[in-house]
Amino acid sequence: MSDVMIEARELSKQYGSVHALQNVSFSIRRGEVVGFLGPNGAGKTTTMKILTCYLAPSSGSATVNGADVFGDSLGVRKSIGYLPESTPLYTEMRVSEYLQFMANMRGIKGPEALKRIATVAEQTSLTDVLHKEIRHLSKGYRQRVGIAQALVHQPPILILDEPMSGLDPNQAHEIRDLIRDLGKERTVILSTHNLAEVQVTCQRVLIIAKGQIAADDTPDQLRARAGKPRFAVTLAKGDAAMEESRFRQRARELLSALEHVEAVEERSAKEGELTLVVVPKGFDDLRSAISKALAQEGFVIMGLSQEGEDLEQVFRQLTVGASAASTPGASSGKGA
Amino acid sequence: MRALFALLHRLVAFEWLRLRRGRQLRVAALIAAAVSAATLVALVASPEAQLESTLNDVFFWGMFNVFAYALAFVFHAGIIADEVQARTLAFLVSRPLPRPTLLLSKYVAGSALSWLLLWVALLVVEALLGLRSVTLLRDQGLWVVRAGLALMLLTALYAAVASMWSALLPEAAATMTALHLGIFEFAGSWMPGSFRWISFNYAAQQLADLPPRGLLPELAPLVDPVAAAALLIAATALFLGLAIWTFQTSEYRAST
Repeated sequence: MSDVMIEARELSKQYGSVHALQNVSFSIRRGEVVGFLGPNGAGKTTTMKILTCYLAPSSGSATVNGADVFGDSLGVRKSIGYLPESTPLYTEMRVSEYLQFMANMRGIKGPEALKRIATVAEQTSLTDVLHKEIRHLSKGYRQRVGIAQALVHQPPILILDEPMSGLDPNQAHEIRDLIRDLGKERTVILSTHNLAEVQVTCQRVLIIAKGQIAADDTPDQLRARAGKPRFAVTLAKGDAAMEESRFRQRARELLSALEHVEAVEERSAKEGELTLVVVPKGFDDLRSAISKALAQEGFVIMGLSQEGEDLEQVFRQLTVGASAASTPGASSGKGA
Repeated sequence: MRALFALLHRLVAFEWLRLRRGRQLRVAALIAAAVSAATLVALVASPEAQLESTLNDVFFWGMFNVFAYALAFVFHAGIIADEVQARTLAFLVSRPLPRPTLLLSKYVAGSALSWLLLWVALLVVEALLGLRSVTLLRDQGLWVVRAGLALMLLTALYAAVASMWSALLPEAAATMTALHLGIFEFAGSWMPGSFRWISFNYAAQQLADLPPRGLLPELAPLVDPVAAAALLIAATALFLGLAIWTFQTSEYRAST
């Protein structure tokens, strides 16, 4: 059995003179959690709608779990659980009725349907609201209902379009945890324009801009594109009697002597406190070495943080202006 | 085929539940109550000698020119349009179900509710007839059933017309249905002479054996009941086919 669960080949979609997608190619393997990242209007939802057989591509092809989206759309739809953008639900239905209908639509009936509903309700923490009408649920719970209906037939592939949009931080956190759990057993593709979601949830990121794949990499590798990480450390004198100049010089000497350190820059200093920025030679995380070295010399560490490896920078580089189209890896996509 | 019917049955059951929970059923029941109340007033106020012609008026105005149109609007103008506006269409078509089955199930569920309300209203008319005059009930009871069957065919046709516009232009489904039924069906049924052929409402009236009305009724064509029934069924199949074809091939970008 092939390890590739989703494969898009040269997908294009045109609406009149507007190119919503241009030659988008990528593949997603079994068990991957892939973030589909891009600004509004970049083509994320169009791609998802092609993969779920809602839209037909203008050219190109795609297979989902071995079934062609055009030639075997029923086969594709059997393999996927889909949560569309903004979680459209039949709000006049009770949660249990709705999930029952969803199970029936997938050919699951009787005791088996009830068992599946109980399982997904537990997975998505819906057990307490099964008897409630959907219109009386909070946004977070509605999102859970949307995810539950996508899971009820235990699909090997989950396609989630902006699953965290409109949720408060607590709700988003819960849904993120849920998606991470689901990703342990399934192939998950989730579209979003929220970078935090991707960093926390996904093993791989596809960035789409102006209808083209602008990047296809792991979150770590993408962050690396933003440049080397830097470490800012704020120190206080452990020994009050130590002279101010001696305190600053000793701290710099200590940090400069560390392995893999390229430079140490002074950012700010005030009476008894100093902030230094450590620039590493490579991409190593030096926080442990920094704190160990300073603590041994009796310095009091007031703060230590990593800077400069922000996915947001990469996202902006890849998606703002004309750079999107000219970025290496654009248009063809790298595939998995 | 058995699996298809099982699927259709589940979809119809779901639509039935939604329609009952939604406001459509309440609106339609209100219209049915209003038509029944008007019938009651007309029959009570009518002199004995004019009861038969009053009954014809009640059917012509209340059933053929109000109720049949209203049912199509209430149950079918939103058949696809509501799904597009609520964005549930993307979700619905991602199920492993053929699109024609989806539309057909919605059509059947709406039509079943329409017919149920129609026969409730007709039973009320029969009861009122019996209360007013047992002789009238005996003479006209079967005619009411015949008119009911004609109305069933007409409501099925109007449901297909509304479904077609709902699938074709979801953003303006109600307006287009109103224009279509208003121009071709209502106005058409008042046209002089052979122009009446454009109105299936007139064919249904002929099937119900209602005397011609409108402009120059004496020149209006007399339609054979079998031909009228065949015409109504063929037109329903045509409009329903167009609705299914449109739904099958449309992308409904507005829903994105």
